[in-house]
Amino acid sequence: MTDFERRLRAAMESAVANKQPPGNLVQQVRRRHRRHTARVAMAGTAAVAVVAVLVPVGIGAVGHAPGPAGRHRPPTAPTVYVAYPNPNPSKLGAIIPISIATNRPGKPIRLPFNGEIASTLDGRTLYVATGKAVIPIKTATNKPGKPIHIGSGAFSIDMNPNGKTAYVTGIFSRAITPINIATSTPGKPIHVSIGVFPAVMAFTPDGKTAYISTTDGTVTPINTATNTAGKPIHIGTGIFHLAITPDGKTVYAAGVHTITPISTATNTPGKPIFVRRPPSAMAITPDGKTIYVGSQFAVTPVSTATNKVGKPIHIGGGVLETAITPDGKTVYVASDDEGSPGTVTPVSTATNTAGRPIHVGASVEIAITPDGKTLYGAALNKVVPISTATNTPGKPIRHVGPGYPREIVITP
Amino acid sequence: MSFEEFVQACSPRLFRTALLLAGQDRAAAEDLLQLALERAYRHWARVCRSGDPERYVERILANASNDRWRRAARRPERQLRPGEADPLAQDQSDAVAERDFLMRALATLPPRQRAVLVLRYFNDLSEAEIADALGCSLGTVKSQASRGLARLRDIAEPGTEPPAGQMRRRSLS
Repeated sequence: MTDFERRLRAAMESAVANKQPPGNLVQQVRRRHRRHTARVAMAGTAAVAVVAVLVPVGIGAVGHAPGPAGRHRPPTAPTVYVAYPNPNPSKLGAIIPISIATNRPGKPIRLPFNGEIASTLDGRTLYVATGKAVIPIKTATNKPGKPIHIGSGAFSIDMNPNGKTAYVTGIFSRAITPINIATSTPGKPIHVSIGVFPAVMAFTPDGKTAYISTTDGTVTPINTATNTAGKPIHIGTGIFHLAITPDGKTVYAAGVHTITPISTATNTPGKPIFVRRPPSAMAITPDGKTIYVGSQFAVTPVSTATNKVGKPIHIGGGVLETAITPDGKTVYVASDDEGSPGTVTPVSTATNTAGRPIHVGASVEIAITPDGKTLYGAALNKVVPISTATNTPGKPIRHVGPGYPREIVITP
Repeated sequence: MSFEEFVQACSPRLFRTALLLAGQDRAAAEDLLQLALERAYRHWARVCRSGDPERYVERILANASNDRWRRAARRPERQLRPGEADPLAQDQSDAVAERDFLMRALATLPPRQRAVLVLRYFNDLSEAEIADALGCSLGTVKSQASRGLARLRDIAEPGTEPPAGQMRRRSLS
């Protein structure tokens, strides 16, 4: 660093050293948020009204996805559940059930919650993380059951693909609590180093091993038969996303600038793949050949065979989420930006080109039905079904919840 | 970490970054910080999951600052001369006078150059991290930093030769 650069640094530090932000900043931000919410709601109403008139799309009834052999069929038809925590933490949030067959919302399930939701594999139970406990909801009746108290807090819920156990993590907690789905009872917490934020969990397809990411640069394997943590695998940078190939052989861990493949056979990391922009979402195609990595303004294909990073596909805004249709032909990319809030962009995996963005609404969350025919985009106070055959939005389901959605889940 | 806890812990540092990005205009800095925090508030669970909320908000700040200036009607750049000392600074020590002068010079830079210099020298980000934060290439960061520094040096030290390889921009004096 030159003398001039040192003087510039000292000047910057000294110029603002004692400056303090206004004391009521949180209130100001909340007020601004309310203004923004009202503005986006109005803009969305106008935009979607036009789309609805011009492009009416009927979403047909969606049948059951074939479940794993020997498993019970769900007692109810496939249902979309959208979680809307209340922006005011002292008030009740709402979980909205929406029938896929009719696209009509059912009676909201009102609960105090601020965490995620997850459905059991048989679709019979929905778990809701409230911050301190997990509340099971029977999907046959949509009635909340007795809360399962988690001592270390409940924010994230991940389901083991074996259908037997749910894993719950809290915030500021180094414990992962397994819940026996059959009995709805918590097991002994598993302690791992997961930093201070809720980490991401991924399972091998056989459900025998779970991998939990950490913000301190390690990934820890967990033996789900014994619920014991293995030796942490050091990656080097904070890990924010995990994805496992469909054959279960490789876990990809996305850090700040890299994606590191980890062999599940040996639990050893391979050579990191450098990506230009920090990954914000990751999805692997069903054939396991390509990872689509979302970031600010782009989604980038990465070949799992060669670890070669392809040409970024431009997306207008920061990528929030990616979802791939079961046939692997389309990646849907949810993005949000100040200029164009809440769009879903279809990307063809055959040509790696982006289609026309579909406006959904601010802070969009997406999920695809098991048969791949419909994508649901949940946004500020509305849910929009999108036909994956034509990439056109259907009639939005409105007035569904307070504020922004936390998560959208589709039961099988 | 709740949003309130985050604001309490990190807002002083973020506000100082906003002040530098906004050319020490307090009202503009408050507005910029509010805007960045409101966007983080909308996606708070996601921001937490990023593992580094402060860096996340810092990135929103820098980009929002760029966007704001880009969208605003062209603002005439202030011309600053080395001899044009702030009357209030006349009695101050040389160091304080230089600080004030440099900060006023910084405020005259184009927003992207200013953002690059603030992130580099105030927030201690590497060039690669700045490229990530601003969504531009490493080459752009290097050229913007080089031009920004050259221009500041031109204003602060007219007549001095820039280091080899560094471009000399137009003089404001």
